[in-house]
Amino acid sequence: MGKKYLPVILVVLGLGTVAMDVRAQDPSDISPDTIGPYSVTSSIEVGVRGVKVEGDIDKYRSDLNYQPGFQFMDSSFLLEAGKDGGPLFDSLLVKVTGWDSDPNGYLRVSMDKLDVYRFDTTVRRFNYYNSLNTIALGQHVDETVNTIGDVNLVLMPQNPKFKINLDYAFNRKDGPTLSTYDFSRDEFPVFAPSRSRSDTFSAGFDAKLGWLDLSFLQGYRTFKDDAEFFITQPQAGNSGPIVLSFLNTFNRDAPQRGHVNFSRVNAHAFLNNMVDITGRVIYSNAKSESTLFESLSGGDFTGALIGLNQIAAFSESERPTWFADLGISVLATESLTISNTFRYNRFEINGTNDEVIQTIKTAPAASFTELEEFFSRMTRYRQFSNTLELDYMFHPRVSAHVGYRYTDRSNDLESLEFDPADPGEIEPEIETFDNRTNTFIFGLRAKPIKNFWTVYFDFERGEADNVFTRAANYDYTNARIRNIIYATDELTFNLSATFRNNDNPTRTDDVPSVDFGTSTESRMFSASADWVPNSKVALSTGYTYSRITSDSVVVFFFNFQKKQGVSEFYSRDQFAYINVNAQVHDRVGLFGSMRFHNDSGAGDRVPPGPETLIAGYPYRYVTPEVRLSIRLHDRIDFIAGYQYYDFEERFKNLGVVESARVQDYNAHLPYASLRFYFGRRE
Amino acid sequence: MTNAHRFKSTVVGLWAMGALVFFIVVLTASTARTANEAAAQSATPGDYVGNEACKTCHEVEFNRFSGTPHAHMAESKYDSDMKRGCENCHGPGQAHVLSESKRKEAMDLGQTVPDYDGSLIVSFKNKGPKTISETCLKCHAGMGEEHGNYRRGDHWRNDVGCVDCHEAHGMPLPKDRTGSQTLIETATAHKIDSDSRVMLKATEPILCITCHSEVRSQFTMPHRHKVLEGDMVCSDCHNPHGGFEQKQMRLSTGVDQACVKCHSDKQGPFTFEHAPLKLEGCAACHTPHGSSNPKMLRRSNVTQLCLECHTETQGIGAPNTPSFHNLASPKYRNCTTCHVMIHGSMSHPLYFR
Repeated sequence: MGKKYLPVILVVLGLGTVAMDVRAQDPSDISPDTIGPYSVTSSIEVGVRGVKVEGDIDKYRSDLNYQPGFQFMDSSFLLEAGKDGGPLFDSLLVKVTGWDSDPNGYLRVSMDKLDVYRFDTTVRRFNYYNSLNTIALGQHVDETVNTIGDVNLVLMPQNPKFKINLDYAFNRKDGPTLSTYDFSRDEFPVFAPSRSRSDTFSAGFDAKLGWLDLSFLQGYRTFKDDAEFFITQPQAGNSGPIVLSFLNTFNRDAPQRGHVNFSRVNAHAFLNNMVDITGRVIYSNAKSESTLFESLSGGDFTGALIGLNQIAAFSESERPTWFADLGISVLATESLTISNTFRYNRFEINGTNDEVIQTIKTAPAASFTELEEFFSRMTRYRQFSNTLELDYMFHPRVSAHVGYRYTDRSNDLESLEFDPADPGEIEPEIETFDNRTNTFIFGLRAKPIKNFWTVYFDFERGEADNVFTRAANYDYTNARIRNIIYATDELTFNLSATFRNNDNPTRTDDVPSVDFGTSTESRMFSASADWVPNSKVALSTGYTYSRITSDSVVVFFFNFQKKQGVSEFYSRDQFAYINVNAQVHDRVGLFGSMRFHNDSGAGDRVPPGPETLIAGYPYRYVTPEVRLSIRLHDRIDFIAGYQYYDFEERFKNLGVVESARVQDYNAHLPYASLRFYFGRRE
Repeated sequence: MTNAHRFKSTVVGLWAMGALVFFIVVLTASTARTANEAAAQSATPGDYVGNEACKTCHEVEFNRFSGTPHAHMAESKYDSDMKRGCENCHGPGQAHVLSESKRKEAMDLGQTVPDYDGSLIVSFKNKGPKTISETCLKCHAGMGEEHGNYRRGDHWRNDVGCVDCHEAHGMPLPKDRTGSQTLIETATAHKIDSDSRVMLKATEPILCITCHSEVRSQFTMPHRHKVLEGDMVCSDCHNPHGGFEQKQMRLSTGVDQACVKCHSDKQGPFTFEHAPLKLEGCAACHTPHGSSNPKMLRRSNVTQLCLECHTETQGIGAPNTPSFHNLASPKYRNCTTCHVMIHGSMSHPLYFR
């Protein structure tokens, strides 16, 4: 059991024990559902899991990472006081899931006292593992523990005139990782243990001043990253003897510190039950600085021996940002609403890096060189966006809306590099991008058959901002239709379809010009059914088909020859699931489920030549699960279950090398647990 | 003054005059938005009967309501309309109680029973979602940022009203069921949770997936945010009550994307910042719900993901790859092997360190 989390687990078990003790004191005097002024509603499930994995353990850990051992299943503990409240709190809720052998851990504590406070805190832990041969040559491995927490306190939560909000949030990321160092035309795997921290504090208030609702928030975040990169023994690069460079020693410290100040003012008014106005202004100023010191020895690609290569760099960056938003809705009649939403967004990123590189070569001839460089980068961004919409209710069961959005974006990228050894004329490089977009919006919602069938339809046709990827804006068309059918009180269907087309109309300057655009089509069809015929049986099942087809004209170098080719990506994912719950006996409950993914990726497509890049990730992922629950006692269930994960990559025509890198696995995860109930059962 | 200036002045002037007239109309108009508000405006204190009178006939609703934060407001020392309990939303009940008493009396005596008069109490039957939501917004659209944009949000626009997700009378908890150990599923959607404290009809994310069914498949893909595992909820990243952001996203540290709240090492600012990080957003390269591709990338092959921007577009935008990036070599097909700090670097313009 991770000692760090022992207190958390003990708190929850302690709360359960308190409830049990209360019952044990004098069952005749004390209702089993109460502790003092509080009623208790709780179920706590603790259990153990076994794990057996066959196949690629790294892929298993990257996807799932369940380990054998103890863990909490979904558990909760709720104390609620009656009408007169409790001494310190009126209600207390503790929720806990996972921890220890589970790669995820979740803890939530909520407390409140009428008119005094409302307190919520959430702590989550993720044991993150990533080691996949499909990315960075399989050399980037992460095994970190990420802990994320939020604490929120509201004072005087029921006060209709004034309340205070106090928040604290933290992130912690620790653990070994592997990275790569690019040195002298080769790449060297290096250790890069991760250690970063961030803490965010904020305080504010919500107030009502006559007809005006006013909120203010002032926040501050600190961030630090003590990244370190090193090797422990002489290292050859990825290229082996083909490239002469090697490392004897390597060490880099690159601590980074940052902080963000942010202020937010939000005002809202609803004038004469007719005009809803919300305005918001946010200012944020984020700053980072880093001092890097790197030293290495070894040999470079020319065969020269390097006695010592040192880099010292100081970098800093600042990003002030302004957001201003104004939304106005006029409820012109009971049926007609006219809304306008305006946004102004402006920020700058201003960064510098000043570095000195000293190199001492020892062979074939001793030499010393020193290089000093200064870099500056500036990004300026400004965007206006305005959306005008009309919403009309034709009938309580039929309504529609139409809208128009306009955006205007301007973006400057400026870079400057200064080398003291070549102090010629320095002219910053400036690139400016301006673009404007127009979008039409339409939506319809109807209940063609009352209490039976509801239809939602959304449609957007217009342009999307596109500064970097192509010369012109993207033309996009999005449509979505969703049907929810309440066939009976027990049976519900959901049928949905989503269509997205994203085309770029760019053409080259050639005569005649040729297509230089990109096109992405996304289709998604989903159907699901939920059937709960009685309190003893529940069935949920569904199917989703996701289809993505993308092709882009790309320019790249193949065997050092410039090629204009096409990049194609295909995904054809079929997903199906079924979950069945059955109370087969008063004391016996059964759960069974099956989840199934099958993506054929690019299928049989074979690139006709090196100019065509075709990708997809064909795989099959099957996850059955069964769970048997036996009530041993009115307050104790015994639960036994089994999960199976079968993951299979389905690439076709793999060569010998690729076949050796296939990441298939199957995993058996049996588990057993006890669930304790206090107070009434859920 | 040039013609252009004159034109601009005229446009601005017309807008200003229009706005002035508009606000005069608004401020002098007197409208009751909801039926309960109309009833409340004309009511006297004697028209209210209190919750106990409602309990006589509506005991099930009363009992469920009694455990809700709505009911607890009656005990608050602060003055608010919620002290009226049921009658805050349903309007004064005196006339309804009298009428129903007479009907019951007639029924008991075997006399002709008068027709039910629905106008004596505010009922939400046959009302559109927006109309019903106005009753909730009367209290909830106010202080704080959470609900302030509901009338311009995606849910409002699509007629998803407050009571589509929340149960104003409180939800009874059904019997406990065994369910998946690692993935939340529908049958176990009703349980004690913070969600039940805000009177949601089911726990997140099942409540959301009931309509947004297609995202379930994304959350079961090999690489995913742990939402169905119960470690995250939809409302961590989205504000279901609307907002100024598209897709009803939340913001982190004032102005940043919701992602950096947890992925704080990607927040920057970096001296050499990968431009899409702030200008296009994380979703330019990642699919946030889930993906079969590692790191939830949009492409299974990193080269293609990079090349689709870093290609030669008439000298505009992202720079093309240099000629020694020979794609015949595996190392150049794995861009992030060298460009390790791809989100941004403090000390290297090509993100090497």
